[in-house]
Amino acid sequence: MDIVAIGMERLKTLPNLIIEIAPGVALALLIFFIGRAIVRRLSRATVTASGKVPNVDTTLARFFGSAVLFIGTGAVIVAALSAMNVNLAFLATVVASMFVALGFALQDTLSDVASGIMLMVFRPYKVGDEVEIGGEHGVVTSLGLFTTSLETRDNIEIVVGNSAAFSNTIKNFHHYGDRRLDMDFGISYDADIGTAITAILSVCEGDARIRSVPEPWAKVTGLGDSAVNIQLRVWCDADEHRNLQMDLPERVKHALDAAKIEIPYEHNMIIPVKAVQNAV
Amino acid sequence: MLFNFLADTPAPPFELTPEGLNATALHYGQAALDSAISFAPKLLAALLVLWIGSWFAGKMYRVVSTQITKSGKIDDTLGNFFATALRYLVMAAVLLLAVAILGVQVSSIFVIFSAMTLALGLALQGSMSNVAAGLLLIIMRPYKIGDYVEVAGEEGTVEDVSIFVTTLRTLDNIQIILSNGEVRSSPIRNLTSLGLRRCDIDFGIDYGDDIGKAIGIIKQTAAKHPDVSSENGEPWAKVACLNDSSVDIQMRVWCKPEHYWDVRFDLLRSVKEAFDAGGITIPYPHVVEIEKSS
Repeated sequence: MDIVAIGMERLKTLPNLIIEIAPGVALALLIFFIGRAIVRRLSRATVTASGKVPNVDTTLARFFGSAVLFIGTGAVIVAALSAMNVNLAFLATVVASMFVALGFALQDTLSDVASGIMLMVFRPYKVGDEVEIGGEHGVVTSLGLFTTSLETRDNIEIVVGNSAAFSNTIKNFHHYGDRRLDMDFGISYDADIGTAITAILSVCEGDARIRSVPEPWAKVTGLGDSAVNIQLRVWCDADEHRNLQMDLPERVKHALDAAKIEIPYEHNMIIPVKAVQNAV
Repeated sequence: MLFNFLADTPAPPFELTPEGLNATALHYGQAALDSAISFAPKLLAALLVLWIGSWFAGKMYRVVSTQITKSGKIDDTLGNFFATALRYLVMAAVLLLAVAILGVQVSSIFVIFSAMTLALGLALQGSMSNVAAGLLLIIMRPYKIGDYVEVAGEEGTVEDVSIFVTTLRTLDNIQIILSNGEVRSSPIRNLTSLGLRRCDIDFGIDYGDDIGKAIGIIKQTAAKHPDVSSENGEPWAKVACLNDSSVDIQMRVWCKPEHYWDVRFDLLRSVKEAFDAGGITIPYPHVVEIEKSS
């Protein structure tokens, strides 16, 4: 038999072969297109549904949506291949090792995302809050999936990775609305403590920013080397904390001057050496 | 493999004649019908498994959570966490079973899942260690809600202990959120759990003053304070240190934790005023001036 005859013989079986494979391929295509449509709808539904949950914002909802799209498309492809009777064991091994490799490579990034999700769900802080995260102090300007951005009072932008933010201490200065402002003043050991406390408390009168409940508080909090330390504690709105801190010291100085209370310098009792020798 | 389009009998040879086409169509139609008939019970079984499985998971969740709430030994947060985790585990197993009944190659899904778990485990390492620490905190309860504690360098009243974080509220109204991993890896000082607290204050008096008289004044003043408790002993005062410029007398009084700061600040003032009245002086730092003899 010559080569042409063999070729013709094979060519005759070709339609048979095509018809054998065709139903599988058709089913696979059907599964793929219908599956993809369903997955897309599911992904959109996820975005809308998670957008309705009070703690979840747009960024997170979109992230959940694309996660559903990604995993769903993977599942649809697997189902389609399986309908074509392809052996999936080798594919599974390849995909699995890819996941492990990606997991190692993206470990830090993925943990940022994981912390980002936690931050968006648990809301330890929200945009506009004054916070301390990862050792940095500032006002939150944005909360993303990977990072949180802060703005300091002197106009520096600080970007903190979400995993650094979530795994360290988070201080939220705005959470409870009101804050307590503590200020220390030293008065002379010779001064009358009662008069000094009255003078210090008098600066709070007439300031609308200072809350009347809890009322301003001033007590002796320490007997220092050269001064009796009096602490003033007033409650105010968290937004006014900084302004009050800058306004009160000057007023206290004037009030103490008016009451003739001395704010002492550092004292040292100097003893001439002769006096020591005489005593011995 | 969802459908088996290739029947057990081999396909008739393909011929481009009306009879041939008819035979081919018949063959594949028969095969499709056969596989649909053999697939239907599988689908029914899978749906049944799903239905019973999800009912079982829900039932188990309710039973476990009510039992935990009833026993009262385990915290509600923790009980809920366990019950939810159990429910999802059961549901995952049921889902896999249903898929396996349908005829999908489950072993490859297992391989992908285990790899995904490994990757997720790497990503969530930190969060998972927080969960582990949170479980320990909820079971061992080194502090409970309302305690005043010092953890990881921060001080405050415990507002909430959850699976991931512990929330404190400081006395000056700042919210502090500590991850449980951070809490577990640092010493926890609970300032309220043992009942009364001891308030220690050092008073420095002049080297020339009468120590006995000063101690008497301190004890008398302390005993007069209404919040000082004598349950753990009367107020105590002794010379604790002969300092650079003063003799330091330490006063120790007991009081309830909620009165600690009031007692401390009130006694600082009243002892100072009693010293003034009794002629005891609190000295400034002393420096002796020495002339260099050349």
